[in-house]
Amino acid sequence: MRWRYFIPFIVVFSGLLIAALTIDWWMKWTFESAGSYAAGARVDIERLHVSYFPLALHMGHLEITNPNLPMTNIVEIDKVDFDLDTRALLEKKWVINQVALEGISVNTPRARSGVLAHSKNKTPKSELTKELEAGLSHEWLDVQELLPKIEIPKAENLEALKAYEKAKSDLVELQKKWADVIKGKPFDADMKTVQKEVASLQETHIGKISSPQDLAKIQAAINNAQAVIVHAQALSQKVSDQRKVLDADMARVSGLPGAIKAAADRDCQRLIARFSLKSLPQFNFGTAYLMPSIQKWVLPLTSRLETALYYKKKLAIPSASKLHGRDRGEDIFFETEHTYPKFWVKSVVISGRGKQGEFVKGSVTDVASDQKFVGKPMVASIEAEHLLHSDMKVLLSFSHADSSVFSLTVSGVPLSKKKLSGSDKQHVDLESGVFGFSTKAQIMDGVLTSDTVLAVAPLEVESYGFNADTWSADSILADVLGSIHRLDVSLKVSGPFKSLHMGIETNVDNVFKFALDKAVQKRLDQAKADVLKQSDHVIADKQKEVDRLVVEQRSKLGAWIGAQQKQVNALKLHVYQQKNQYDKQLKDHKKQAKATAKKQGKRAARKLLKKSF
Amino acid sequence: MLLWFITKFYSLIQALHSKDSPRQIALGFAMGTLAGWAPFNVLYSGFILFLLYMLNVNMGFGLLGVLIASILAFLLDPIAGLLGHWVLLDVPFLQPLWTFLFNLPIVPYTRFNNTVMLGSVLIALVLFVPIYFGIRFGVNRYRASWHDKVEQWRFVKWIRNSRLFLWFLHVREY
Repeated sequence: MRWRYFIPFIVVFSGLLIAALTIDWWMKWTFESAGSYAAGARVDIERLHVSYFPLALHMGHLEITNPNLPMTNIVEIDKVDFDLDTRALLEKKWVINQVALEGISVNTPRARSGVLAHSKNKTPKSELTKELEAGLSHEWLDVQELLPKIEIPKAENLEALKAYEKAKSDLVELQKKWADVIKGKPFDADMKTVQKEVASLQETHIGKISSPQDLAKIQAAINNAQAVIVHAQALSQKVSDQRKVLDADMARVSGLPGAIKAAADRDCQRLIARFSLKSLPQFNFGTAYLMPSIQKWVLPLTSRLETALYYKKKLAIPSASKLHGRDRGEDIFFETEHTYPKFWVKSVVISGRGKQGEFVKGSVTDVASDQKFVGKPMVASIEAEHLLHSDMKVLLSFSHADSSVFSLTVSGVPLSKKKLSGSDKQHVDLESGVFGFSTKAQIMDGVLTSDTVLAVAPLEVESYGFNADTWSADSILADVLGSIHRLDVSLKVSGPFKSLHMGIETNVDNVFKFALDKAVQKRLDQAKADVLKQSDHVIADKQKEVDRLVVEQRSKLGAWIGAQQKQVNALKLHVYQQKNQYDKQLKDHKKQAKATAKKQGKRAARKLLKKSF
Repeated sequence: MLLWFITKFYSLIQALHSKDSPRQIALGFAMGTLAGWAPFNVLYSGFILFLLYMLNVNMGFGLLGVLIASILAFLLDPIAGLLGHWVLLDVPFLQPLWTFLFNLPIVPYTRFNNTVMLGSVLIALVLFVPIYFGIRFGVNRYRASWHDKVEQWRFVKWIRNSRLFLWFLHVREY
């Protein structure tokens, strides 16, 4: 044995001892250096302590700088504790009994700049990096561009509006026609004739009936009265005929609203067809209105991933292991006597509060490289609340054993104010609203099954400036959006990862159909109300006038006819009385003549008879 | 750096000419190959190097063995992988041994459960004996046939007489 070679070992062990005593310092330096390298900006740890019994790491006030905003921290954590299992570590197993992250806050200001000194000398971007970045541009759907694609018919092309205009012109025409009819006083001439006849009938004086010629006069008067009655009846028939024409016109007016409604129904069907999602492949309600802020982050990330995978495949970039000099071999794992997986975090506890009152707390238990050693699934549960928006809550749970089950529920997220459409005359603002979504996913044997439900309620739409044109596309869209109370989109994804099948079930189509129907119906009702209001007014006025005229004329005529009839009857009675009196006188004269003849002879009788007539 | 290489090279020649026995030289070289064949591992490679330090073997030839074996190990890796796979998985009676070692503290850090690692170690152990005897035979032959000729090489004379080399030997004594 060459004992003098022990000297280096003593030096080495002394160094190790010093290192052990100063481990807090160099661990702090290591974490800060490695963290800064990984983050691309300063990572600061105020204090760090390593304890050996039990083996634990305690960090106080960890700050990670935002590389894009050197005076802002991405995240700041008041306290970070790691509690490690020493025995498992000797068996090359990383078992962490508990990780506690307390007082997490994000986007906090820094006291000093977090720019790294060496970060200014960045290496120039490679062609591939530039190409990848160039491929990340994403075209956002613009509502202004989207609206023309919806192809809402112009107001002048709506059948309902044409029917409405025709009804209006018909009503004006009829109004003018009946105004002319009434102004022309069509029955006045006939009425005057009848009046004259009746007057002349009244002036007829028969006088004392004393001879058979007087009876002829009476007969002529009766004939005149009957002729007046016939004339009056003819006049009444003329009025009835005119009334029939009026009734026909009224029936025509009554049919106008029905014609408008039929046309409006056809318009509605056309509008609904325009709004059908099937005919609008580019129209994504969520993309356009609901989740702009989420998409701003998510879509570039997914796009980045897709682009990276595409270029990796295209350029056949080998994996890191193939670039290594020596064959790395394969690690074979044997049964272990202890229930330790290779890596196991028994518990992670987090809690934090944001500047605006956001509060988040959660725990993750039993994160392991091989869950069968743990004997229970990994369960993660995070709950977040926003104090300013007390309705907003985020609940995330995840469990993983033989299969992974994810569950994420986000509710009450306030939507930011968004200008939907704007011009000098018309504005539609999505004032506010909330949305929430719930997703459940399960991965079993590499097969994913997920069900996501997105709900939006309610969209408060503020619209103004639409009075100029109630049938404009923006006006209808504003009404449609304003009347939507809840939109549900159920996204189902299933299948192995290489060939996922996706299906969407949504009530957006029905809700749009319903809302559109309602919006159009509102306008149609208004149009019908306008038409009916006008037609009812005109018809009622005219009908009242005609009725009054007919009743008045009939009344007058009836009175005249009755009076004349009465006079005729009186005359008849008078005539019959005169006749009876005459007959009695004649009978008396005959009786006297017979008596005289009996007394004075036939000659005297004949003289008497002659005298009597 | 150049000086270090020169001195190391000279130390190899010097070792062949020194009082070290062929057994010490051969054992140093063979032990070096034990470390060289296998992928670097703190525990395994450190242990071999520790033995090189602690045992009375020739250090120069030990490091030469590490260097040569490390270079040739690239060629043997596929064979080592197959061998390690066969030994770890396809030899039933060894399974209890591997399981036992796998459950011992610290031992898993040697990465013995890696196919290339175990295969390389087994190859190194198998080659240890022929390498030892081969080197010992070679040293003996060298000392018998080549010793005097090499002593006359102009390069050897130049190094031996250079002031820098003498200063280096002087410093090394301390």
